[in-house]
Amino acid sequence: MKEIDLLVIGAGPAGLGAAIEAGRYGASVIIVDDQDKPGGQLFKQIHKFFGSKEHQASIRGFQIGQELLAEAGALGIEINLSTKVTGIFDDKIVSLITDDENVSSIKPRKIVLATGGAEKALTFPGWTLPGVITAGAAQTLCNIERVLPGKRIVMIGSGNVGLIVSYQLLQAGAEVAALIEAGNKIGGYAVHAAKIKRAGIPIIMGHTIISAKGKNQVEEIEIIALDKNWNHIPGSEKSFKADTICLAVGLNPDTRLARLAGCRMEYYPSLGGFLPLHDVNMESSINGIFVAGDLAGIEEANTALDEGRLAGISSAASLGYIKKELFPELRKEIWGRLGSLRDGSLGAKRLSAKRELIGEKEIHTDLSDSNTPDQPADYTLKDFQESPGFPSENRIKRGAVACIECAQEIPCNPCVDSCPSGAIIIKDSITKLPFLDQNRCTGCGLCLASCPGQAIFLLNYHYSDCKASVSFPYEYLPLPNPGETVMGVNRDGKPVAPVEIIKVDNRKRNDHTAIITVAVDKIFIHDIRSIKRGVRK
Amino acid sequence: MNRVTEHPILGSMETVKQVEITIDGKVITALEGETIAAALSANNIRIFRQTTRFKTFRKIFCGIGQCTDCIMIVDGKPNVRTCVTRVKAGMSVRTQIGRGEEIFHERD
Ligand SMILES: Cc1cc2nc3c(=O)[nH]c(=O)nc-3n(C[C@H](O)[C@H](O)[C@H](O)COP(=O)(O)OP(=O)(O)OC[C@H]3O[C@@H](n4cnc5c(N)ncnc54)[C@H](O)[C@@H]3O)c2cc1C
Ligand code: SF4
Ligand code: SF4
Ligand code: FES
Repeated sequence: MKEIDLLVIGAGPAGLGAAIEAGRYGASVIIVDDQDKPGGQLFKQIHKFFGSKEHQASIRGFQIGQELLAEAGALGIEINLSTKVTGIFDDKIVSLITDDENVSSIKPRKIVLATGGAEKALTFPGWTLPGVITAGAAQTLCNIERVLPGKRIVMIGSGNVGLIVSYQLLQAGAEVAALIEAGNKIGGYAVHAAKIKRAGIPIIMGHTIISAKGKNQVEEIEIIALDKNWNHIPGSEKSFKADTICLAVGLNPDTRLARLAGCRMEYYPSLGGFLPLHDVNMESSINGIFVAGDLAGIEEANTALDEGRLAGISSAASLGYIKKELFPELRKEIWGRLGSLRDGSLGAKRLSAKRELIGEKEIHTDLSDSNTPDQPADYTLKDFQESPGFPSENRIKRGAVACIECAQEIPCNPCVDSCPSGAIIIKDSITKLPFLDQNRCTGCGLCLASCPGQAIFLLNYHYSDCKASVSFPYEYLPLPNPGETVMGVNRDGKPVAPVEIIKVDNRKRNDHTAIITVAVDKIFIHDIRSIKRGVRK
Repeated sequence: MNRVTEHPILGSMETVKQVEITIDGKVITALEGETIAAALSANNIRIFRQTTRFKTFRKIFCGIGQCTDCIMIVDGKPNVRTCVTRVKAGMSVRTQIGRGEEIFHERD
């Protein structure tokens, strides 16, 4: 039987991170994955990532995936695809099945389990009709297979997955009829929600789906309003036409192998449910079996990657490839990065669950227990005007200036590095709101394309005697042409007034985020934030 | 066709070889390397199988091989997860009834 130092199960960001780190320090590593392409969920993620420079913020998910694969390749790490792990036995003997027919086994000295998560279902009358799919299926179809899952889609759930996949469906050319959220607050990042609102997609809060109707496939969806206690409000039913319903109602860790291996499980609702308990080294209750990524708690791709790196370093250290003195340093560095991703109000629950399950509070001592105030249900112009990224009216009247509409604390700071004048400042922790030093801002506009939230606009009050100009990021087809007159829309995607396209800047460094500048009547400088999307051929 | 030929981020779709497969005997065009589920979706085919007990229809659900809602009879073999199985020229795909008894309804 083949023997190796480390077997990594799952070639998503967590598994790739683990393999790369262990391989870097000299361990012999094999990765197996049951899919026929590596990357897990990462290659579906075509938007620019949040985080900071160390987390590769502002780079798109699939590009991070390509870099990881190149890195693994350079280290000579073997990735065995179409290979499913079917059993983990005593002495870490692992049984595999390749191409659904060839059975083999392998004996690694250590194992990293990085099996990811599974999307939750939601049941309602009609939920099994063809046309009800998970958001992940929609993302796979439109971004990997390049086939639209439907023509008129309703998204259920306003977490980041629901928001991002809605946006990506629009980018692929589908119509998103609405996004339905049962709660009274957006679950995901406000900047993601703002993108789809500007695109004119209604976000219907406080409603849930009661049925999908249709003969043999989805033709109509029925929703109902919920009261404070989440009870249906009779008489508030509404129906509309749709051929596809996407469920984005969360993920559970895929614990099948971890259970099989006998890892101790614990229930943490804020991390997606049952997950294998692990310590500060990502080691499970079973000696030599490490866990990372969505399996160890549903979070995001960059947390998965860093947890994977930690599991890789820990397994290499336990095999003697990393000096005893060096290991705590490396570990601390990764916990620091993980800490900054979990900082802020949206990460607070995950952070405290991780702390509790790891039982080592000192790891996070550099972070305060978040006491950030409640998020508003919706961000208005007033919220932005009161935030530190908004220039004063006097400054706006003096000439071109950036206008940062990022008023929710999220772990993100690429805007800071993008500004050649040092006019954007985020102090202490990357979750703090960006501050605009308005006297330093030269109005160059370089920050717009770097912001993964598409939350920065450029306002030029003095474009001409009667017009101001507004620049905004735009990632849809068709791109408008300079000289054209199109409809300018507000933050809710509602028409405000016709605008003239002055410039479409799609240079390479923008990485497909076109920056569009439009001339608007001066009175609309605080209203117009995008244009009505054109019709695709 | 529901293909995303142009994309603001991913660019134009690469030209890949077209292959022919059959669905319940009817010939459709697929793209080499795509999954059966993608090929059927691109051809507006939404019914993949019929359940054993309640005789209701199913299509893909999870899209990544976890749920088995998309199983069909492929080259005579039942219970093939079409969302993770790639097309091959000349492949025969059939709507699956129940656990794999052949279905002979012809598609129009
Ligand atoms: C639809 C969807 C959208 C998402 N969008 C985002 C996003 O936009 N941004 C973001 O940051 N995060 C997003 N996420 C979160 C996502 O879970 C993480 O981005 C990340 O992919 C998790 O990494 P992972 O390595 O833990 O798991 P995965 O990327 O899921 O990788 C796990 C791998 O393990 C393999 N595997 C499982 N069991 C076995 C077995 N028995 N044998 C062999 N291989 C096995 C799986 O096939 C898979 O390839 C999204 C998740 C989903 C489902
Ligand atoms: S517009 Fe230019 S100077 Fe002003 S904040 Fe943005 S990058 Fe900095
Ligand atoms: S403004 Fe800065 S902190 Fe806010 S989303 Fe954009 S890049 Fe991130
Ligand atoms: S759709 Fe779930 S296995 Fe294919």
